[in-house]
Amino acid sequence: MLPRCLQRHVRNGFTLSRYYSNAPQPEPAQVTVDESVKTSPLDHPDFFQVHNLFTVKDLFDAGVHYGHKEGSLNEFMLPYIYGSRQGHLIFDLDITAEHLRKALNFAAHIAYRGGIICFFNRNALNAHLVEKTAQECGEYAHTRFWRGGIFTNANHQFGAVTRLPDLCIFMNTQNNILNQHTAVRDSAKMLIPTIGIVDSNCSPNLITYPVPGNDDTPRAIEMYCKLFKAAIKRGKDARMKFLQENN
Amino acid sequence: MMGEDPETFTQKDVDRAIEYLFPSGIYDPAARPLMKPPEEVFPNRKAAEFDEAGRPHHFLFYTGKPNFFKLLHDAAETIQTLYKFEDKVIRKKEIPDPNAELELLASVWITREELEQSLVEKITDLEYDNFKLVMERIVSLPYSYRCKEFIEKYRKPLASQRFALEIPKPSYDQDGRAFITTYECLRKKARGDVTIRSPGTGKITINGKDLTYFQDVQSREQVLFPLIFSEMLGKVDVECNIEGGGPSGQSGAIRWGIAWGLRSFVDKNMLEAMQVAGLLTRDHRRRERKKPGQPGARKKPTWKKR
Repeated sequence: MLPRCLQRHVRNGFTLSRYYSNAPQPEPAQVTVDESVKTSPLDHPDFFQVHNLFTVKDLFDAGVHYGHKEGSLNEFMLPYIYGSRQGHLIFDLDITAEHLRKALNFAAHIAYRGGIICFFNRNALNAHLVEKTAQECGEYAHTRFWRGGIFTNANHQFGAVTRLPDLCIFMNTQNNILNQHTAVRDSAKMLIPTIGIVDSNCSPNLITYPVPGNDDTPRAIEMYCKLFKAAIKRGKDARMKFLQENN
Repeated sequence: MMGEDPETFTQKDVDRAIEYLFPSGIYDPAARPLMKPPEEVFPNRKAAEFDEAGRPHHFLFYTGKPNFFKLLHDAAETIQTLYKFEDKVIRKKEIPDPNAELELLASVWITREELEQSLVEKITDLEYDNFKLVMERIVSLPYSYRCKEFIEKYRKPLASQRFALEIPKPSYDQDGRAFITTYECLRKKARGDVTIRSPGTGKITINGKDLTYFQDVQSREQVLFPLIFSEMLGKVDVECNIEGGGPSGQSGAIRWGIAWGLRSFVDKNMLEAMQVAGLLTRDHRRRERKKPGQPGARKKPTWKKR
């Protein structure tokens, strides 16, 4: 018996469905899992089995469903909102889980391809945790003041031809409550895919894989860090296995 | 080469040889020929930052100042470890060991330039302030002595305290009296050496004569001042050989020589008091030359408008 959220995954063939969006949805492709497909990670809907990393209950326990106050709502976040309780918005964790699984799957695929993953976070409270996670993954972190042009003028800034990250993971997408992190815009400019935890007051528009959820609480950030670390580790392990088999 | 032993050929000998082989009249010493280990001549440069796949080596590479932010990261890590330890000790209902407290009075945080040199990165004033803030935070924690190594890495001893640490041990003569000789006591044009013998009767010998070698009271006071200040008058014997200069230069040289020699015979508190009183400070002032067109070094002829 599959969990409810997973059943929906299987039903939709792992296409993202925005609940209240009237944009045309792609036709769900029929997933056929046979032996030849299993060897190619891109043909498999969930090659790294990221769906078993967490349950909706885990998200709830980590306080991922807490949004900001009603007044600060960004209207693009409306489709992900379950409701409001005592003036505070609550995320629909079923939707969050779907988005998070997509994001984890993508992160694992990037890690499998040997991509550079960079973690971002501008909240001083969680900065150390995010840096530590990046270090443990063998990936990169940027939790400090963003000097303009790190992506857009990289060769000049670093004094050498620089390989930019292949994926940016934003643990929060805002610099402060008013401004969006410049790296979100710069990643979009440089065609770097992004995963972002977007709270109810943030804009998901420039994020490739937005994950609606609480981006302030250390408990929640700890949860995301743990999940992304696990996903990246799976991707890297699969890569190591693949390289060993092919050498 | 040059009749020198290669086994004991030091940097000092190299410098002397270069000075001899390549005599240079260039005024600025930094522009003269030199031969030194390359790491002293060329400032440190960052090693290669990427591997073959183009992945940066440092996990904070994209911040632009990876070494500095790694330092802040380590400091945060240290603070968290100390907090955890403190919690553990409080749960056991114990208190911090008062004897293990860090002694930081004798040292200061390294300067911004030194930090830049050790990190091989330019840092701004604001970043340096942040560094000091976070280090002060670590020091203020009750169990900061547990990460002494981390803190000591970013501290340097105070200059005045460094001299005090290198106090020589006195030698003993055939009578069993401790004695110490200070050579090169310099002041103005005077130079000489001062020998202090302890225990003694307060006998002062200057070039074979007693204190009356100096005719004026001021010079005599100068000679006696370190002895009176350190309450050693009548407890030690002083012998000086002094030449060159006038009475004020000679007495000043002897004063410094006595004070310098007395370091080996006084306790730590007195040493600090002597330091504060300026007894252990060399006076490097020399006579300033007379300038043409004026009667003295600074003195000008009387100014008349017309």
